[in-house]
Order: sequence, then C-alpha cells, then structure tokens
Amino acid sequence: MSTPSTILTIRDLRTHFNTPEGLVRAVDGVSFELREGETYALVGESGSGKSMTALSVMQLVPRPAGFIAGGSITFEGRELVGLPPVEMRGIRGNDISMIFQEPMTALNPVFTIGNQLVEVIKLHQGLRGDKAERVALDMLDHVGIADPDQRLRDFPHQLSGGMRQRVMIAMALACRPKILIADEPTTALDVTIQSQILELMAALQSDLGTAILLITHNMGVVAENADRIGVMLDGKLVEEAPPDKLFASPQHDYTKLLLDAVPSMAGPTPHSELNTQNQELLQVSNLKQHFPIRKGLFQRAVGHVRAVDGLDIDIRRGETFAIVGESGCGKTTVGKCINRLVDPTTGSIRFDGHELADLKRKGLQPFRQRIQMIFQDPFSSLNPRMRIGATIVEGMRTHGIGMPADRTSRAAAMLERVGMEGDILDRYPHEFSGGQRQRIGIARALAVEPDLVICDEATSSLDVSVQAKILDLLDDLKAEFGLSYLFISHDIAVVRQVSDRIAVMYLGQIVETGPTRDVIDEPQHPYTRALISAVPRIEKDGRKRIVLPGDVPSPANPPSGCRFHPRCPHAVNACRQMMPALETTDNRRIACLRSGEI
Amino acid sequence: MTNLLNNWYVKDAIVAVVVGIMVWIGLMLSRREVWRSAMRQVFGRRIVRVSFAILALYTLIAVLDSVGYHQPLRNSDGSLRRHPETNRVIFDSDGRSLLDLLLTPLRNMEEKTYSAPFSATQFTKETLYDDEGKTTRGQPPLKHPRRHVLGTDRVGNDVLYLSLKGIRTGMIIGGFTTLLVIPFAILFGVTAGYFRGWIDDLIQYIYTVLSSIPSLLLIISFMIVFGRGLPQLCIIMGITSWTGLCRVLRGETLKLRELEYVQAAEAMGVRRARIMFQHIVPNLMHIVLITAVLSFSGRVLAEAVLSYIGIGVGADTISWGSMINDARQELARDPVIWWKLIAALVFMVGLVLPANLFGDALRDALDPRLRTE
Repeated sequence: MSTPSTILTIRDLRTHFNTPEGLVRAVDGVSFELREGETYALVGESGSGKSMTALSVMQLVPRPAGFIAGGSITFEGRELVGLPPVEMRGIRGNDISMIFQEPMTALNPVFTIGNQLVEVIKLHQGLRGDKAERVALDMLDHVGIADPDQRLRDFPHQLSGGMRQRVMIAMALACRPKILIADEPTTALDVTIQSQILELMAALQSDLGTAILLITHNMGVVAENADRIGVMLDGKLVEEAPPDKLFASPQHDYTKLLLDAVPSMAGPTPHSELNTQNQELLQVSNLKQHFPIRKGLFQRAVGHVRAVDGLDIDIRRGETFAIVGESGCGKTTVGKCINRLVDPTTGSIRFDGHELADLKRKGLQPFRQRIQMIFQDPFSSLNPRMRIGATIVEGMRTHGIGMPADRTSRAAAMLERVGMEGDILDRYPHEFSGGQRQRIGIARALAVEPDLVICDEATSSLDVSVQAKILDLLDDLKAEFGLSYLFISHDIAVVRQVSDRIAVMYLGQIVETGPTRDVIDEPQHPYTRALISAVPRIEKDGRKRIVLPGDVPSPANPPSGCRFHPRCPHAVNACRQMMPALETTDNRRIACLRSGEI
Repeated sequence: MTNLLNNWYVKDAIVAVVVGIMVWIGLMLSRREVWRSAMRQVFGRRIVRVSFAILALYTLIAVLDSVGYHQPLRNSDGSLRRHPETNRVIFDSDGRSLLDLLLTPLRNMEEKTYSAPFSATQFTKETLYDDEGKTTRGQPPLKHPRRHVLGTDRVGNDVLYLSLKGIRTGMIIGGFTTLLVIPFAILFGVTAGYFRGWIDDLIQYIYTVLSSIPSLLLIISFMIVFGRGLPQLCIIMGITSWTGLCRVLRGETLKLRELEYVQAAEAMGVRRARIMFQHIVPNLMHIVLITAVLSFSGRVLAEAVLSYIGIGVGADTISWGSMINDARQELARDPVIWWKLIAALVFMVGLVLPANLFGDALRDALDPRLRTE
C-alpha cells in the first residue's frame, strides 16, 4: 500500500493574541501534516495551544484580539491563511467540519434537532422538504440514535449528552467532509458514553475515509485512537510520533513527564495492604436522599429523584475509601449527606460513634471541624473577594483553634506544608493557577485539624501533571496528619492509584465494593466490568472494550428490579423483577442476581 | 414630623451623611486591588474622566449649597439687632449657604420681572415716563443690563442662580434615595436568597405587593399624608424602588449560595450572618454599584416629573422640576419665554448624562457577564 497523500499541511503556524498584559503567543511555530484517512492527535495540557491550532485551521480565531501572525495552512493545495471569508465559508462544513467539547452549547436550544439538521442539509446539499428530512433521518440512524423519527422532533435539552454529541457528529459529517476536527469530543462525557462515541467515530472514519484531527488532553484516548500523535507545550509542537513509539520511548522531557503523570491502569496497585484491624471511623447505613419533584399550582411533590437510594459504606481510620460512578449516580450527594450540606431523607450516618443524620445546625458544629471537604473546581471554591489568609484563618476562628494571635502564622505554616509560599496571605485567589488554588483549598481544610476529608472530584479539573502532584501531596498529608479520605471520583485510574477500598455506584446504589485491587483488576459485576474496560489506557493489554448500549436512566424514574438490567448484557427475566441485595462473597460485596454464574 | 423634615438643618445633615458615606465607600473600595484595577479600566477612557469631573463639580456645588448659616439682622446703623427683652442677637429666618455667599452678586442682581438672556431691556412692556413727563409704551432698561446669562424669571430672579440652586435638590433626590434603598435591598435580597423557605416567600410577597401598586399613586398618597418636601419625596421614592434591586440581588444570591466557596464556608460551620456578609455580599457589590449609579439619574428625572404634576418638592424648594412646572405657563405666552425651561433641562441633562456614561463604564468594567474572556 502506498503512503496516503497529505491533505492538510500546516507550516510554521503562529497565532497570537493581544491582551492587556501584552502579546500572547498561543500557537508559536507549529508544523505538521494530516494525511488522508488517518487520525492525527494533538495532545497537551490546558494553554498549550492545541485548540487554537484547530481554530486557526477553521479560520475561527476569536477576533479582534487573536490573529494569525504568520505561517501557512494548505488544504489540498489551497492556502487557507488570508482566504476571503466567503470562500472560507465554502470550505467550512463542506470540506472541513468541527465538533466541540460541550454538545449542549453547540446546539441551539430553541430549535428541534430536526430543524437544525435540515438546515445544514439545505445549506450544503441544496435539498428541501421531505427529501432533506429523509436525509436527516438517515444521518441520525447512521450515528446510532435509536428511534430517529421521534428524536427529530426533540429539542436539544431532551437528549442526553452522548446523544447530543452523536447529533453533532451527524451534522459535522452531513456533507462527507474530508477532514473532521474533533476538539475534546468526549471530555464532557462519562467513560461508558465516551467509549460509545469513540467507537462510532472509528466506524464512521473507516466508512467515509475522513481524516480526523483529534484534540485532547487524555493520553488514554490518544493511545487507543490515533495513528500519529503530536505533543504540544506552550504553543510549540515538541514531539511527534506514532503511539507505539511515543509511549515506548518518549524523546522529549515534557512527554516523559506527561506520561509519568498519567495514572496507570496496569501494574500493581500502590495501596494493597489491608488494614482491617483499624477501627471504624464512619459508618453509613441505608442512606437515602430523595429530592422531591414539585409541580403545579400548590407545588405538590409528584415524584422523587432518588439520588441516593439505600447506601451502606464504612470507612476505617487511616483509610482512603473511594466512591466511583458516572455522572448522576449520586456520588456527590453521598458526600454532601455525610458532611450534612443536605439533610438525608432517611438512614444513619455514624461518625466516630456519634449519629449525625438527625443533628441540627448547632449539634453539628463540632463535626464541621472534624469532617472537611476539598472541592472540585479550584476557581469557584475560594471566595474571590477574600484574601488567602482570611480564607484559611476563618475556619480556625470558627472552631477556636489556636490562639487568635498565632492563627496567621499557623496559616502561613500550613500553606508552606502544602507547597505554597507562606507570604501569600495578603493576596487574592485570582493571582493563582488552578493547581495552586487547589493547594490553598487543601490548606484551608487541614488548618482545622480534621479526621475525615471528603475529596469530591478534587483533581478532575486539573491538568494531568498538576493532578499527579496534588495526589502525591494528599498521600503525604494523610500519613502526617492521620487523615482518612473519602475520595469521590469518576476517574477510575486516579481511584486505582490512591484508594484502599472502593465502592462502585450506579443510579444511587452500590453495585460492587471491596479492596481496590480486587475490584478493579477482577471486576465481577457486569457494570463494573464495562466501566473498567471503557477506561482508555496507554498500556496495550489485549482487553476487549465492553460497550454498553444506551444511557444511564433517570434517577427520577429508575427501572424496576435490578437498576442496571436495561443495559446489562447478561440480564435475564429475574433481573427485571427482583432488586439484588449487596451480598458478601470472599473478598467483596456485590449486588447481582447472577454473580455466581457469569 | 413634617416640620422636622423640612428643617433646613435636617436636610444639610442628610447631605453631609450622603457625601460622607460616598467618600467612605470610595475609600473602602480603593483599598481593594480588585476595585482599583477595575477603576483603572473605568478611568482609562476620556469620556469617563470628563463625566466624572462634571459629576464632581455638581457634587461640589451641592456640598457648598449645603453648608448653611443664618445671617444676624442689623439695625440701620449697622449694629446687631437684639431682642428687646432677652437681649439675644436676632437672626434672619432665611437660611443662607456658602454657595449663596459665593454667588452674592448673582443673587443680588434682581430685576422687576422677565428678561431674556443677555438682554439689555426688560422682556415685558411698561408705561415709560421720559424727561418731559410724556408717557410711551416700551421695554424699560434693566438694572443689570446684558449680565443675565440665562435671563430672569417672573419675579426678576437670575435664572442661572436658580439653576445652580437646583443642583442640591437634584443631588439629594438622586443620592439620598439611592443610599436609602441599598441597605434594604441588600438585606432583604440576600436574606431571601440565602435562607429560602418561608423567609423568601415573605420577602417576595412584600415586594411583589409593593411593586403591583402603581408607584405614582403611592407617591401621591404619601405626599398628601406627610406633606410635600424633599425628605418625604426621597423616602417614598425609596420605598417604591427598592424592589427592583432586591429582586436582582435575591436571584444572584440564589446562584452564589450554590457556589463551592459558600458551600465550603457552610461545611466549615461558619456562622450564617458571616457567610452572608463575608462571602455573599462582597460578591454582589458590583451589581449594587452599577444599579446605584444608573438609578441615580432615573431619580433625578423622576423628581422633575413629580414636581411637574405638582407632587414633588414644595414650592419653597428651588428645583429643576418646579422650574419646569413654572415654564408651563411661560410657554403659553406669546412670545414664548423659553429660557427657564431650557436652563432647567440643560442642567438636568448635565447631571444625568455623565451619570449614565459613568454607570455604563462601571458596568463594562465590573459585570462579569459582559467580559469577553
């Protein structure tokens, strides 16, 4: 087979931005080629310029601040830089299409899916009326949307995130473009939905022969889907190689650093020794949190969202316990129930021998010190109008920790312990990066000397190299301060790295729980198996990806019997009628009627 | 109460408080880097600097006009007049202000009646007696010819002087009402949004009822009960207008209370009052500031409308609204007497336009939704 011909050539591309702080070189001399029918992946951390490269190809750099300062982009021999907007519009959509990260904002909320699809077809294929609608139906069918007739009449908000992304792909591929630019196409999606979309993109690519420019920060996605990879750092392409070569022998220091930081799904789990002797710190039993759905004139409750529906966990002293699950499974609500940001509907939360579930505001006060929380978004978890020092001292003052005169120096010492300078007390949060803010959030939590720290997606919004450092820090602090962690995350690779025991949640219930090593390396519940197989990973381990059909059902109207049966490949009749209980096997507890058979 | 409210000293005290609070807010904000950088952005545009200079000039005039004193009465020989029994010095019952003192020449340039701007003669004709005692109809010469920049009114007062005196009234209406409204709007809006539940229902009920009464009717009935006057007008305009800001602040609080830093404070066990005033209110201040500046100009205009329909400040208070009200008859004459109306309008626009420009610039700099990042 001859080498496929080059379809897109980028030479020394420089895209710059004028900002009040001066010129920012977002893309600074990038050169690469995209060949027919291949997938070229640009990877890098936030701010590396990978998205700006894509927008430059589309000639969609935000004006007037951004501009292409130099270089050339040739598509099939045509120079795109400086092409008049009219001609560029002819290329966009017809020859080069783009899909974005957030499918909700990319679709217009006030038009039906049908309206928007037909508009694209009219514009690019010149078809009208019934003909256009038939093409639209075909397209939805093609991207694997069930019941496309009905979906055409739906509005974007009626579709799940995965379905919206399928619609976006259908629109982008409507005119059989030669190039599809996918900017973080699965980042906003859950891991089981992500594997559906990646599968779909691969199938369409082999059908249509489209070249894909894949932009992502996820090394696993890259490893499994790209033919060639370009690693970006600070607007420059620092290394380019096929995946096998890149992962086996990375050349550039930054690539090595990046690959080291990616939490691994292979090899021994770092936390394997079981500390069953330790006494229990937290016992949650039969926890339920039902949020009423109110409707009508008198706001009567017409139903309940069963966010958490009968949950039992226990955390021992000095242990890291993880709850994993996809969005909407109720894992965040569990965290909020435990530190009583919400009032649980029923159930018991025993913390160090005290029942928390029915304590009022006043009675909870001592536990507000002993249970602390680290939040997901470092940009909204610090009050932008409060100095760092005031933020950290506030908790100490609330709980009367230390002498008033010493608190500032304690805050400074705590900041130094989490790896910040101690002299930043008088500065404001906006002066710090995401990782630094997360360190400040950790300092705030630890300054009041807690016993249990709930980390709710504490590293999800950080770049992978920063994430690795924060995870190391949390691990160091655990031993030093005698902490226990409740780690809530959707990221199985991270959880595998940090936790001693793990509980997998699906629709408000635990489906499988046990020591991390056992559960992740030998999952037994069908959902856990699919979830873990869907995690994109760098290591080639010959595993087969189990792609689950459909979406997670709504917790307002959960399926009868086993909650997982509509998507379960092993479901039998009994699964539709009987809800399985968590049953103890040798080393774990599992909620599946067929756990012995499959 | 009416007497008390109409007391000159009370109004002066109000102005002192208003100016004091504004200066205090300015000082507080200037200590915060966030605001300093926002202000640098605001003042980066020339039109804003010009607007601010004009506003500062208006404020200066209003302050000068609010430092009041009473002149002692004198006998014809120049000695102080004293009370025959108590032997106390008797003061003029009319108060004077520093502005009056500065404008003494302007104030004393009284004519008999109307005269056009820069005219040498009176506007109306009179029977004139010449040296021989013959009578003719004609326009008599003015006492101060060609020196009335904006003409004179019916009783011969200089219109420029009246317009300048109107500044204080306008500033009090705009500034005092705004400062009256803000604490209530913040307190009720944040309380409703933060506590939700029955407190929210109650506060929403109050402001929904209040805003469903036509505000003009409410103002009229209030002014009839408590009498016409500047403080009464400020109070009732405050009562009818806090609901708008309150509603916005409630909505914003609903959003902020779900943010992670408020949740973090909540999980830390920080007292609720502290969460409200330390974590929520400072993050609402940009909305308050923008609304304050933009509604300031609305209130100045509202005073004109209310005085025009005869329920504004009393007849004894010089205001642009009452000047416009006077102009109603003057415009019905032929030839038209236009200068009083025009003077009032020019001075009013001179205050409202810079205030609006300044408010827009503040919004551009402070409202995160308008930022293009």
